[in-house]
Amino acid sequence: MLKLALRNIKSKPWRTVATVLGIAVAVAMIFAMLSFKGAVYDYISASETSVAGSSDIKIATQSSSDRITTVTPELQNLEGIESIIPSLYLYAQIGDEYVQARGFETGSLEKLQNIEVQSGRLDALNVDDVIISEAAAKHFGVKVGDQIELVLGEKKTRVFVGAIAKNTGYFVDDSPYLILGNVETISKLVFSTGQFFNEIYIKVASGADVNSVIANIKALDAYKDMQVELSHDLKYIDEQTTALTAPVVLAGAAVLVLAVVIVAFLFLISEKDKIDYISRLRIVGATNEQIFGVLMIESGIIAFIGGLVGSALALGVFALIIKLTLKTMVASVSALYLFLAAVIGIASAVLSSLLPIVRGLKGTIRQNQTSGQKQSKLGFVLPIVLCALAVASVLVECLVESLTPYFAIVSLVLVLATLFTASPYVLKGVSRLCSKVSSPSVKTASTTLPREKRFARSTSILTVGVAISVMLFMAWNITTTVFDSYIKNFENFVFVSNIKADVPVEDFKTLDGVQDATKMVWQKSEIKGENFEKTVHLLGSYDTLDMINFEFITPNQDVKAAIAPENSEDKYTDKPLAVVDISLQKLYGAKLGDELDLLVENKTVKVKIAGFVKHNLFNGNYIIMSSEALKKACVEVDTVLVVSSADVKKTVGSIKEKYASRNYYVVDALEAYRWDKESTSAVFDLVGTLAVVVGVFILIVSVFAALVGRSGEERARTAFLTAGMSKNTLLATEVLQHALIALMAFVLAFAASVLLTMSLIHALMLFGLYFEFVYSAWVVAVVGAVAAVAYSVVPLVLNFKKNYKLTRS
Amino acid sequence: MTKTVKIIIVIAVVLVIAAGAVLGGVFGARAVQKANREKAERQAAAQRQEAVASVKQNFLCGINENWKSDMTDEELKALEDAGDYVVFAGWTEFALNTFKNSPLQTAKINLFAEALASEDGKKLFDEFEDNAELLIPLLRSVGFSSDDVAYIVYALIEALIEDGATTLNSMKDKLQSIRSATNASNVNESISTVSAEIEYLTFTQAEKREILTAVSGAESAIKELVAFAYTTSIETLTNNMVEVITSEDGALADITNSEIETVVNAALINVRKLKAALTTAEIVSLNNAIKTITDKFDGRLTTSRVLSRIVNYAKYVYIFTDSIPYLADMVISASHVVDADFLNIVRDYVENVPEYSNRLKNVNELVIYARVEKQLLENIDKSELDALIEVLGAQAETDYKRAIPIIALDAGVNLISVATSEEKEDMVEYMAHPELWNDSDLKKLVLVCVKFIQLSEFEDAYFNYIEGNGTRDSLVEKLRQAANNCSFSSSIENGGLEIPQNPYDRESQTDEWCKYYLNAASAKMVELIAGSGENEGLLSIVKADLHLSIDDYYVEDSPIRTKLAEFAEAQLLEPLPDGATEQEAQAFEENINAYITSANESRVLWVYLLIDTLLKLVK
Repeated sequence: MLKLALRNIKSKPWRTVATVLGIAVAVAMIFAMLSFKGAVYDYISASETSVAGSSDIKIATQSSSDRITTVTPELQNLEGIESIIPSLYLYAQIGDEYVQARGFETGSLEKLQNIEVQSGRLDALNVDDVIISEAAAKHFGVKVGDQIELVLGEKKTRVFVGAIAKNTGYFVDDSPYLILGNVETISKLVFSTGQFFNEIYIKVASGADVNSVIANIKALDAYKDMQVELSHDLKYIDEQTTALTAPVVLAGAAVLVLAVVIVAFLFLISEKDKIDYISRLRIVGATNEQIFGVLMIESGIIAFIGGLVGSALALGVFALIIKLTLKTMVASVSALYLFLAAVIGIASAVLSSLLPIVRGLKGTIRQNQTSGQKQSKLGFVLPIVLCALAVASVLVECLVESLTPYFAIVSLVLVLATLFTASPYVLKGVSRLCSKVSSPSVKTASTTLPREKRFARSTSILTVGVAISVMLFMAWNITTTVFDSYIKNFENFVFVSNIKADVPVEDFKTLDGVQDATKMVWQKSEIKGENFEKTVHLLGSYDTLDMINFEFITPNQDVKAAIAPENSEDKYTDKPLAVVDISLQKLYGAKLGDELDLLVENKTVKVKIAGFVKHNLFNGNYIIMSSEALKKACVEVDTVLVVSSADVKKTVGSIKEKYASRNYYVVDALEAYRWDKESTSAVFDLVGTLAVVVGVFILIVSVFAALVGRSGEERARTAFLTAGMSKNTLLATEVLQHALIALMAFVLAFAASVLLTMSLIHALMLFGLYFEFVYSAWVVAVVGAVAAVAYSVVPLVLNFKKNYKLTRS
Repeated sequence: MTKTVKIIIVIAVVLVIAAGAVLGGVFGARAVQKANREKAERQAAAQRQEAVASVKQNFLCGINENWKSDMTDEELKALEDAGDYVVFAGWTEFALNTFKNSPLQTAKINLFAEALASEDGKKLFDEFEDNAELLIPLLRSVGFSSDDVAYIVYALIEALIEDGATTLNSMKDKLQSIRSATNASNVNESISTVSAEIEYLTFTQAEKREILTAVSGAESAIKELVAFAYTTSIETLTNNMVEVITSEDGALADITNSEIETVVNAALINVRKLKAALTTAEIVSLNNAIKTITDKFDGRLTTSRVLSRIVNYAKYVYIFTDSIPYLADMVISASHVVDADFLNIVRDYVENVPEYSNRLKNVNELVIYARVEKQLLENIDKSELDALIEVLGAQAETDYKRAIPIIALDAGVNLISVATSEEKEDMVEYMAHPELWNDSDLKKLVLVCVKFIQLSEFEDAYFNYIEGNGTRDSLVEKLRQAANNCSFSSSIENGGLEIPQNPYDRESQTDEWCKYYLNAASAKMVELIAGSGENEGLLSIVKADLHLSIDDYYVEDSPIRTKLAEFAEAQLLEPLPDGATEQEAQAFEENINAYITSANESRVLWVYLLIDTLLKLVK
C-alpha cells in the first residue's frame, strides 16, 4: 500500500508540490495569527519593563517629595527584601538634545537587566565610562573611546563611551537616547561630589508578600512622601497589547478559518480524480480497506510534509517579520503555537482528504464513473439564507446598542459566509452576461466558468481571501489612524515637567510665544467602575476643557459648571467631579452621577461622573478633573502645559533658555509623542507587514489552488487545441477566466468591506475599545486591485502557453 | 532519468545552494566582523600610542622649550643640559608606560596632553619643585577620576620596585653615550646621582618579592587612600554646600533641610568608603607596606620629584593610618551639624570675612566650631573617643614619629589650660589635670615637643645634603647647626637627649654621622615617650590626661557641656561699623571677650585645634 501511495504521489509531482506548499503556507498563516498577540505583548512588556527590569518594587521621588533620596539602614534591614538597587535618573542634554542619563552603583549595572554588548567591554568600564545604544552611537556619530559632554543646567560632566549595546534590556526604551553609566559620574550633574539617587528598585525575597513589603516601606520616614509601588503595571501592558492587537486578532480569526478552508479546498479540488481512481482500484479487485489505506497514506504523507515545511516556513517568516519590524528578537517563538499550527494544518488536510474517499467508496463503480459533476438543486438557497441572516444581523448590530458587539461578530461570520457561498452564483451571472460577447476567448471563458467546480471554489476562496486581506489592512489603518490622528491637535502644545508644585505659572505666560499656560496633573492613573477597570490618562486641570477641542456630549456649560462654577470668583470647586470620554458610556453603560474610584499616586479618590465629552485623545482613555480637587486629595500638579502662539520650537527654546539652570524637562507635544510613538510604531509596522504577508499568502494559496485544479483539466485544453483553437486564444481564455474571477472577487470584497469594517469596529467593543467608524476606501481599492491584477496575470506569469500540447502526455 | 528524480535533484541542489548561501553568509559575516574588530583594535592601539607620545612631547617641552621628545644622540651631545633631559625623559617614559597600560581612556590621555600645553600646564612647569601640587588640580580639570589616580599611583609604586633599577641603568647608559664637551658637567652630575640611586634601587629577587608582597598586600588600602586624598577637599565641599543652599537654580534649587541631609550624607561617601576599606587587617598591611616603602626610598629618589612626593605623602599618612577609622567616624558624627541654619551661618562668615579683623575672624570661627563640636559630642560615643586615645597610644610605643598626634593633642589641651588659667605658683598647677603631673614629667613633655621639631629640621638638613641642594661645605655646615640645635649629647635636664659621642667624623663620614644621630635620637625619643625598664615614659600620663579630658565632657551635668551648648547657640559677631562711638567700641570689645571666655570655658579651642589639624591633613 505504501508503494502504491508513493507512486500516486510521484505520478503528479506538480500537484503534489503545489498541495504541500499550499498546506505549508496555510500552516504559516495559522501560526502568524496565533503568535501575533504574544509577540506584541512580549515587545510591549520588554519596552514597559526596560526601566525596572527584574525588580518588583519601585521607590521614586515625586513633585511633593524630596528630589533625592538614599538607601537608609532601615530599608536595608527590612524583612522580605532580597536586593536593593538604587539609581539616579535624570534628563540631561547633549548639545540641544535631551537624553536620559541613568546611573547605577559600581557592580549594579546588570542587576535589573542584562546588557548585550555590540562593541566595547562591560568588564573594563571606568567610573566615567558610559554605555549607549547602537542607534545613539550612530545618531551622535560616536564610537567606543569617544567623549561626550552631558549638561544639566549649569553643571556639566565629561563621559567616555565605554561600550555600545544592542537594542535590548534597558535600551528597548531608547527614546530619548539612554546614556547608562556609574552613579558617581551622573551625580556630578547634581553636585560636585557624592552619589545621589532618585529611584530605588527592590527585588522581593522569594515567598515574601510584595504588598506587605510596599506597606512596610511606606511606613518608613524616609520614604513616606515618595511613590512606592509595583515596578511593573502588568495591567497596563495587557491593555496596551489589547488596544494595539484587537483589530488584527479579530481579522486573524477569519484568516485562521480561511487557512483551514484553503487546505480543505486543495484536497477537494482533486475529488474527481480520486473518485476515478477508487473506481479503477475496485475494478482490479482492491477492497475498501485497501483503497482507504492507500489514499489515507497518500494524504497523510502529503499532509505531514506540508506540516513540516509549513512549520519551517512559519518560523522563518515570522521571525524575519519580527526582526524587521520590532527590530528585536524579544519575542520568543512559542513551540506550542507552532505545534498547534502544524497540527491544525495536518488535521485539516487529512480530514479534508476523507470527503472524496468517502464519496468514492460510497458509490458503485458505475456511479463513480458516470456521475459527472452534479449541481445541487438547492445550492442557491444557502447563499440567500446566509444573506438574509447577514442583513438581519447587521440591522440588529446597528439598532440594538446593547447587542452591538456580539452581533458584530455574527455579522462578520455571516457576511464572509455569504461571500463564500454567493460568489460562485455571481460568477455564473457575470459569465452569462459575458457569453453574449462575440470574442471566442470571452465566449469560451464565460462558458467554462460556470461549468467547472474548480472555478466556483477558486472564486469563493479568492473573494473571501481578498475580503479578509482588506480586513487586515483596515485593521492596520484603524490602528494607525486612531493612535496617530489625535496628535495633530496638539501641535502647539509644550509640556514642562519635573517642576515643583508651587512653581508660579504666571512666569510662563509672560514668555514670548506663549499664548496660555496651566499647571496640571498629567499622569497615568486607573479608574474602577461597577463593571470595569482601566488605565487612563489623568488631565488634572479645569483649563484643559478650553485648551483641547473636546466635543461636548453633555452640554458645555453643564460640564464646566460641574467642575468649575460660572462665577469667576468661585472658579474652582473641591467637589470630586470628573469628566470622562463617551466611550465609557458606550462600552460599559456609565451614566452621569456614577461613582468611580480613581487610583493615582497610590491614593484612591472617589469621583463622580459630571459629564461626557468626546475626543480620540489616548483612544478615549482619559479623565478630566480640576487641579484643586486633586490637591485636596493630596495629588499635586507635576506639569505645566503651555500653548504656543507662535513657532512651537521657538517657544520651547525660550522656556529652556529662561529655566536653563533648573532641571525642567521642556518638550513639545509632537516630540514627546514621537518618543511615545517610537515603541508603538514598531507594532504598527508589524501589523502592516503581517497584513501584506498574509495577503500575499492568500494570493499564493489561491494560485496554488488554481494550479492544482487546472492540472486535472489538461484533456479539455487539448480538446480545444485539437478543435482548432490557437494557443494564444486558449491563453487569452485562461487569462479571462482568471480576470473575471478576480474582478468579481474585487467587486464583491469592495462592496462587503464597508460592512466588514463597521462590524470589525463594533466587535472591538468586546475588547474594551471604542472607535468611531473609520473607512479608507483607497486602502480597500489598492488591496483589492493589487490582488485582482496579480491573480489575473497568473497564466501569463506562469507561462501556461508553454505546456499547451495537441496530444496528451 | 524520470521527472520525479529530476525534481528531487533540482530541489536538492536548491537546498544545498541555499544552505551554502546561509552558511557562507554567517561565516563570511563573522570573518568580516573579526577583521573589523582587529582593525579597530589596531587603530585604538595606534591612537593610544600617539596620545602617550603627545603627553611626553608636551611635558618635556613644558619643562624646557628647547627639549622635545625623541631627541637624537647628536642633538643631545650639542645640548648643554642633556643630563637633565635624559633623566626627565627617562622618568617620563617610565610614568607614561604606566599610563599606556592603565585602563585610562585614550581620549583622557589626549586631554591631559592638551592640558600640559595650556596656561595651567605651563604654570606647573615654571617651578616644578614648588608647583608639583598643581598637578592635582590639573588632573581634576582634565577629568581624571579618583580611580584613575589611585590606579596610576599604585602602578607607579609597583613599577618603581620592579623596574626602577632597569630604568636608572638605561638612563646611565644613555648619559654615558651622549656625553660631550658641551654637556660634560651636567651629564657627569646626572650620572653621579643616577649611580647612587641605582645602588639602593637594586634588589635581589628575594628582596623584590618581599617588597612587592608587602605592597600588593595593601593594594586596596593604598588605592583607597590615594582616591580619598585626590577627591576630598573640605574647602571645595564647603563652598559647594554653600552654593547649593543659596542657589535658586540647579537640580536642587531651593533645597530643603532633608535634601541637605541627603547631600551631606552622599558627599561623605568617600569618608565612609575609606573607613570601610581600612579594616584592622588592611591597616596592618598598609602600615607594613608604607614602612617598607619609606625604609627603602625615604627621600632618596631625587631624580623623580613625583615619586619622591608620593613617598613623602606616605610618610605623612603613616602617622595617622591607625586612627583613620576613628577620624572618619568623627567626621560623620560632626556632619550632622550641617543644616540650612548652619550653612547660612557659614555663608555669612564666608561673605563677610574680608571685613573681619583677625580677632573677630577667630572669634566667629569659634562660634562655628562650637556648633560642630556640640554635634560631634552628641553623636559620638565616649567609648569611641577613648578607643582613639588607646590607638594613638599604641602606635606611639615603637615609633616616635607616630607619637606626634597623641603628644600634640595632650600638649594642646594643656597649653590652652595654661593660657586660660589664672596665675598660679607652680607650672604643674596650670595643667588640665595637675594631679597626674610632676615637674620632671612636665619637662619631659616640653622636651619631647621641642625635639619633634628639632629632629625634623635635622632630618631635612640630611635630605638636603643627600639631594645636593648646595655646595658640600654649606650643606655639612647646616647639618652641624641642626645637630647643635638638637643638643644630642646634652642631658635631658639641659634639653638634650643624652646620646653618647658620635664615633663618626662629620666631614669624612657625613652619611654615617647623620644616621648615627638619627637612629640614636629615635631610640631615645621612644624611651622618653614609651618608657623602658623601670623608667615610666610619658605615654601613660598623656593617655590618662586625655581620658580625663574626655570624661570632663561626658560626666553628668558637665559644666563644660552646658557652656558648650550655650555658646553653640551664639550668632556671629558683626564688624564694628565705621564711625562707631567709643561706647559702641567698648561694648564690641566686651562682646568679643565674652565670646572668648565662653569658648575657653567650653574648651572649644581644644576642638578648634583638632579640627584645624584634620583640615590641614585633608587639604
